[in-house]
Amino acid sequence: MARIVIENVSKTYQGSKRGGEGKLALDRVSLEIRDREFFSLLGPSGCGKTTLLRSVAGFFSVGSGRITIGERVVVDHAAGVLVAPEERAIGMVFQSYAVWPHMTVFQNVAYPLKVQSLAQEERRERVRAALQQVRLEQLEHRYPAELSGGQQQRVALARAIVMQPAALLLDEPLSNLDARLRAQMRFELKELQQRLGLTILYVTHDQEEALAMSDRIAVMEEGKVVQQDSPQDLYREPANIGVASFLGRTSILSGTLDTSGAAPALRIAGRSVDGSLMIADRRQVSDGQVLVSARYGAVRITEPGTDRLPARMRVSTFMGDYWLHELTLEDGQTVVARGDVYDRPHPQGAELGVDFTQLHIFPATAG
Amino acid sequence: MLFVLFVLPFVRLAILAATRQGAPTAQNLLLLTPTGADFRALRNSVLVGVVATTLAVSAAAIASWILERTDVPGTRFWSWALVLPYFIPPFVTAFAWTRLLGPIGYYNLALMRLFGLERPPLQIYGAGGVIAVSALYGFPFAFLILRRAIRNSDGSLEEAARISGASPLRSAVTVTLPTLLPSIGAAAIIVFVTVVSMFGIPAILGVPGRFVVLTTRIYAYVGSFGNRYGLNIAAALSMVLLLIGVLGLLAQQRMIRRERFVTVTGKSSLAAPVRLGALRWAVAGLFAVVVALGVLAPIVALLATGVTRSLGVPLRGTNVTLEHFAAIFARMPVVARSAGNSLLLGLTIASLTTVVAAGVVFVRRYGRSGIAKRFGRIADVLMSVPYAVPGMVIGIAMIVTWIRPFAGLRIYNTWWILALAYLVRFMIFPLRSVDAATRALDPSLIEAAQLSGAAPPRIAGDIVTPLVRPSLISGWILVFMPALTELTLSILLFSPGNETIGVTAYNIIQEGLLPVASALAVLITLGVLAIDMVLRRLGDTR
Repeated sequence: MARIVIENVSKTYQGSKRGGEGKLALDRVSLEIRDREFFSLLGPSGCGKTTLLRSVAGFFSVGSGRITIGERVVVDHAAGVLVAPEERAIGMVFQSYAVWPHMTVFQNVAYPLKVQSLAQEERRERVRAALQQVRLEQLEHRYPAELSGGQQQRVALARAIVMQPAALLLDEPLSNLDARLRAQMRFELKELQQRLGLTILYVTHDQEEALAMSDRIAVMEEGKVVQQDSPQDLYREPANIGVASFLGRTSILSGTLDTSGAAPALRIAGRSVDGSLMIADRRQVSDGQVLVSARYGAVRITEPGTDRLPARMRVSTFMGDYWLHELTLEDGQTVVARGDVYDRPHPQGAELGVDFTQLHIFPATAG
Repeated sequence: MLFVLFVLPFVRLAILAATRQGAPTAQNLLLLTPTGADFRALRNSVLVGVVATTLAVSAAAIASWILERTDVPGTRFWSWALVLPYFIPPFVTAFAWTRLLGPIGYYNLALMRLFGLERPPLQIYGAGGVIAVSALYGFPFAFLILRRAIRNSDGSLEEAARISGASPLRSAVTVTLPTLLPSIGAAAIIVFVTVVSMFGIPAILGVPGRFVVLTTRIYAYVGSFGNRYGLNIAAALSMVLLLIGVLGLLAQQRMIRRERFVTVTGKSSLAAPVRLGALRWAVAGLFAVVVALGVLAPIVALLATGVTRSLGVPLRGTNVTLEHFAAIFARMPVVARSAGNSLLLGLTIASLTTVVAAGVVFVRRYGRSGIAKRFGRIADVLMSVPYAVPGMVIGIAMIVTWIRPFAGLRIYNTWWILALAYLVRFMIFPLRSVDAATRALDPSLIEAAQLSGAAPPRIAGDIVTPLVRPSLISGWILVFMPALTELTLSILLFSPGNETIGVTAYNIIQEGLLPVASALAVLITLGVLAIDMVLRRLGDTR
């Protein structure tokens, strides 16, 4: 396995008409995926994460920049280097699995080795080993049509690892599975990655998936990487309002900030707010209008009191593991809070108070 | 080369239509104006097209609704029987009907005996015969399209109308019919273009009744040595057919685009069939009569004529003979020779077009280099040009291009010009079917192979070809079957020694050797049905 280095990669999608403005799909993206790292690209659809993955695979050519897999430069726009996908020695698992329906499980997995003209004996051995890794050794003579979705997924995985690739690319591989299977595959995939020491570049729009499996995550927005960090740091210290609202259930509130005093003073809905304030990037936030994000776990519901924001209970939804409360502040803004599943929810319309254990403050202008 | 094959002939044709001895003139086209000599042919073509299309499409709409939506018994059998004429070459069908409705046809004889008439009450030769048989021939095209459309349309729409209180008939007319209009339109266009550009039926049924249409006029002009501008005039008449074909294609594409919006879902829940009650047996009886008189009777008439010693004697006892069949084999070497020619042409052209189509589509879709992709795209466009062109027009275009040696090639009056014309005519079928099949392939299937290390040619062989094989086979059959009994192109381009079975059968029919012609028609019909059955069997089991 090997690391993947992406340097300054940009890509423009051609506009519909000649000479028309193209859309910037990747905007000077630089990332380093370390050896044996599980690295995820996370973001809403259209953010450029799949474009980046397919550029690493070689299905897209980039407009500028450099991509190195292991010691080999596979893309160097300035030097005119563009290695064909079939020569990049990487494995990939597709969202649709892309298991060939006219081949058995064994033939599917053996295909990369057959193309390499590997000897029969060794081929068989390595296919068996790969199938064993994904627990499919009993099904090698089946055709894909006779397999469940989860099993087809494993075939695709076995086919990707059988060639002992430099790195493994996964494009939303779990999105076609049902919820229970998805949770199980998540666990197995992580386990397989650690056992085999795989370098994985993983694309998903599912934050839970990314948080659960990744060593590091890059959050992408409109072709740019806005933050790359470990899941914990990403969750604790979102770089901007976009990341903050994309991860977890979050209320975005508008407020005012005043840092002229000894301690910064924050007011929401016209009242001052107590709490261990956390300012994401002091240099960017100036006094006046700000956006405040509050994770639903960082919101406490209390009886009304002088040192907290008055709020009225609007609706409580039973989510199974917890209650999801929606409250309305005096100025009409909405706050969501997580409640313990064993507590009785307050009645609708009850006059209550909220305070926060943690807040993130961002500039009011989007960024 | 592709340009020379697929485009140049039509350019030459257009030039010829607008000139006489190289000088530009509108003389040729003026023949088609209301005062011109050939206006009658144009008017008759339109008449046949409109009336036959109306008959065929209405009948097809009613029949397909009944078979898809009601509980009439024997659905599968009726569907099969109604499509049967599709497989029989039109000139055979036309000839078969002369054995029923000709002056000494079985229906006419029966009616004369029944009512004690002096003269045959029904007349097959002329407008009525051409229209009726054209409608019969067009029916399966419309039926196949409309049956699929009804099957794919959402049955719950009709059910919702029923729940709202509409009777079955009312919901069919007010709900199903409007949603089917685009399909009906598409079917009508296909039938119209097919009927107007057909040669066999008007040649056999129209000409003896002095009822001329465009195609038979074109044929007459090409064959007339008396008229020094025959070829120019034929070219001009061809331009009209060409125009009809192109307009038809454009209209059809519009219809199909609209059809996509209307057809609601692919996998709709099957609507509960409309219960016909006691009526279902009446309807089944009606189907039985139609199938017996319209589909089976012509075949039986051919068989009866073929095994009767001579015309006019009753079919019984010692009058039953196989001597006409024997005569075909013993005394008519031309039949075996032309059957061989047709088989060779069919096999060659079907295989060639399928391989070329696969090559072009694969290169265009999966090629690596820009040049290869561009070549594929251009080839695809050029080869699609003749799609809208009726067979008759392709034939004339081939004549005008190759009548003098061109590019050092002397192929006129040889087997090669037939092969070339078939190639131009049929290339589009496998091209479209391979194209559709590859478009339906999930691109990641190809990408997965690429990442496995396979280069494009290898991917084409290992992944794409096996996955689109059904379409390759059906594309091959789509060429082979019509090529086998092709008449329109062949009648214009054949030369002694290079007859096709269609040409030979047509000549024998025109010579009036009724018993032998019937025997041959029976053999052709059986042969075509048998080959079709074998091919389907082979296609099903890989």
